Amino acid sequence: MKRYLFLALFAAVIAAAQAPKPKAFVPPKTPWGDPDLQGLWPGSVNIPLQRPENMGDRDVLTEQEVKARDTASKQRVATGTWIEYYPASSQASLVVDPKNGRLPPMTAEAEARNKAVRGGLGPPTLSSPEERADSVEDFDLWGRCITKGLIGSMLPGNLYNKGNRIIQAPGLFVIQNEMVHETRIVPTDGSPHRGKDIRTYMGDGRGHWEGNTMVVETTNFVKDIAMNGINFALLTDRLKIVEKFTRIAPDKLSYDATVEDPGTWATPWTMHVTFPLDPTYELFEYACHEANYGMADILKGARKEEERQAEQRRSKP
Amino acid sequence: MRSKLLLVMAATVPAWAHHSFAAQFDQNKVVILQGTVTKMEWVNPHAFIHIAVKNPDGTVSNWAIEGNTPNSLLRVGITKNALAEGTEIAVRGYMSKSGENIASGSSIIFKSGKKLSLGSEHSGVSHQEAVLEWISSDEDLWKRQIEALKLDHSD
Repeated sequence: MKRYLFLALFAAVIAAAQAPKPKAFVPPKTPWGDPDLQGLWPGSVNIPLQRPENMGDRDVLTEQEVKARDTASKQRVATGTWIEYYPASSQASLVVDPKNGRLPPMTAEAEARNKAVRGGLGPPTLSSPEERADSVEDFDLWGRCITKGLIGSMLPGNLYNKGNRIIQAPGLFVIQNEMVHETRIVPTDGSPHRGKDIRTYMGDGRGHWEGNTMVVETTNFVKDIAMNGINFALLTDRLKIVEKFTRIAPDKLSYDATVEDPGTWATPWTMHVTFPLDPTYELFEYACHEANYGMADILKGARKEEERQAEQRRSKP
Repeated sequence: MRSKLLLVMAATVPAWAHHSFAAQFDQNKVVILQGTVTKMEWVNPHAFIHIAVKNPDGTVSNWAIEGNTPNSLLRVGITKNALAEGTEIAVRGYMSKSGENIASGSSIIFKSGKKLSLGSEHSGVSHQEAVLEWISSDEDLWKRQIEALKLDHSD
């Protein structure tokens, strides 16, 4: 009897061990046999890059915190102009590694280098022309309609124009961003990176498949690029970004980007976001510099303010 | 001010364009402009509505009103026909720091009674509703709506 009991127990343990795990989603294939990730994946979700320090390693918000984030976003839209609303996610921060959801500290050398930019003001940001608008050098690359850079182009929750599209062809993986109309055409045919002296703002990407995941490694960035989202640091020519695109459900695209720049941070860091599929989203051209009168207006406004201040000084006894 | 222009102290801080809004516009100078559409510039990064504003002395001042990116305007159902030449409108926005006749545009009302937000998808209100909201075509109400624009701090 004992023997039967033992056998029954043994069989139950084996059965439990073999219980079917939830099956990972298998994406459809392209006609040439690659996983099919094609579609419109707008970044219509609200997740900040970093998480507040006091949250520690907790990476999911409470229901109340999600509500608060959403309310703040709605207020921002209601009291602002020219921005779009995106629903809040419960994901605490885009940064998932380090575990505290915060960027690692910059190296001492990078701190000093960045502090020295623009006579101590640091690299330009979206809001830096409020502090000083002497020339275009006081505007960041996005404000100048040049680029949001990478990872800037992939950050969800743009002020507007958050569209992303993936298109594939044999040997090619194409990522199109509506904002500043970037299109990266990434070879996946095993060809090597361009020569190290050929450098661009969006870098040189090369892709390969790891199972159902498209891995894109991008190097050859222009030196001293202040990328949107992390433009407190002018990144160095040692910058390398590794992105992973995985279709985890028919309507979900998991995206991870690991940013490595030993000239700026001692350790790499990773961001994560899940993009929702929206086949109804239309990407329109965003020829950003077509009528970028804002740039000239800001510079003229700053000169006007200088005149006003000079006049005030003159009129003082 | 010689033109039919009103300055109101702003109570709220407006937000961003792809460049700094606060660097371009004076957050303390809200303007209410009444005029006739002369041209709609459907351009990136932000659309512009040009209006002719009649001054009390009979002269006319031309103003450029900056709105949201055309992509966003299209997405929320605003077409080039929404602001046809000759349309009478009143606009609420912020004045440019450059001192030129340029203002940001947040809300617009039409003499016909339509109301239009030049911003974007405001939470809880679909844009279609905002565009198609008919206030009235009554002349007195038009005046009252302009008065209301002066008190409107929603932008």
